[in-house]
Amino acid sequence: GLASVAATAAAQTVNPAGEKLYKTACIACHSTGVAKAPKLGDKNAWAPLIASGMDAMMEIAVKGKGAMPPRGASSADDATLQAAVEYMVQASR
Amino acid sequence: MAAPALAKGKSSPAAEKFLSEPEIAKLKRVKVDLVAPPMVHKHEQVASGAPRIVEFRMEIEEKKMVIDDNGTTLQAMTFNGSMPGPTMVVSAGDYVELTLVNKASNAMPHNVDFHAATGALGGAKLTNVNPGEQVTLRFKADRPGTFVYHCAPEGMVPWHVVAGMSGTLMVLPRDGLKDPAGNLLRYDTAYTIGEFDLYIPKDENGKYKDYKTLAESYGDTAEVMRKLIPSHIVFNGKVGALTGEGALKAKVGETVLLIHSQANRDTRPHLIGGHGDWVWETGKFANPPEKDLETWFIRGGSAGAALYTFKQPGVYAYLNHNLIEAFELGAAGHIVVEGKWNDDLMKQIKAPGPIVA
Repeated sequence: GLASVAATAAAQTVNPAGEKLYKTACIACHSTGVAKAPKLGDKNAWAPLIASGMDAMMEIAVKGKGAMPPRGASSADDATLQAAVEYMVQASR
Repeated sequence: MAAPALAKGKSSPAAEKFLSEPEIAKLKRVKVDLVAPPMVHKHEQVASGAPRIVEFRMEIEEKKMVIDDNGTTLQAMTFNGSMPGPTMVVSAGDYVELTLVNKASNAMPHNVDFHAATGALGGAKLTNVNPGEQVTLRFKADRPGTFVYHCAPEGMVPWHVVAGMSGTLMVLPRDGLKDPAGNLLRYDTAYTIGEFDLYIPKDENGKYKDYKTLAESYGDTAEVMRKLIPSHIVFNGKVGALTGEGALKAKVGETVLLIHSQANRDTRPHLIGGHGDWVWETGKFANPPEKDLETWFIRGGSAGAALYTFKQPGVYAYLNHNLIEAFELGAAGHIVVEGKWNDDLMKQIKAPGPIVA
């Protein structure tokens, strides 16, 4: 329906480097929720994070939080990291 | 007549005695400094006193390691910087008190699951440590045997195990190792061998990939793992780790205990030119050992032990007798044995030469 058309359109504007980084590294914890990591696709877990805004999520992504290492223990730059956050947000709305 | 037979069965649940915290507090404490494999720290084979609390400390270290002669790298995770982690030895009835340190320079959370321990997923539930944290766990080592320990963080257990995080806890019977007739078996030297099935991803040109960070190796590695075909199978962290300078050493007449752990995948140890004089292939010393084995079998997720007294000098190979896994993938080491050759056991009657009719 219309919703899926809109989702497809949104997906096309997303930087594909985000999904790539997610599948390389972030997936280690965020696919199953290792050490209380918010799981990809878990709407309830992600809602408050999404509500906190991209700046706040990027702050966590860059600096780390709890068991989450800085940059998710990757060597990705800020743009790629943000693309991965955007990918996870989109999959978890 | 049934009564004495029952009394012998010390492991019957009714006979178990659980100590209270004040009673445990009165036990003698000893601190053991661990040594790097293949060596095993100094220990008593027959316990000289009452059960003790044995304190150990291990630091988790994530690091990139070279795992073959071609410079292939593994984004490894280790206990104390080695693959396998150090072997810990106690006597049955002792308490193991481990302090596990997750160095601040690491990226991942870790923990430890002891197959010798009872409860809380082997201790894993009680030892979750993030980088920059440490934790202390105590458990009663109430079953004799060689037991695997390994990291088991919920959600990423296999990756942490195949990246290097396993070792052995050896719990000796208080009165020492016994043959099936009850005679004491002693060893002069104990060596510990950890066998690791590795899953290193390749790039589109067929070359092994090298990763900048541990986390970045995850996605590709998991894909290789799911195919169940290791790229390498190594003893103690690297192809050839136990050859050349790293070869194990022994003398004719010396009895060696070979501890072999494999936390993930089956293996079948064999000593070329030798045997397993007495082998606990399932690794649990309350069971009678088997005699004269050519090849034994370590189940993935266990550690076993074999005793052998050398009778001939020379260079022996100790390997996984799926010979492709040994010679192509890396699961082989050497034991260099000094001493006098015995012509009665073996003699070359005529050296190789042209065929004579």
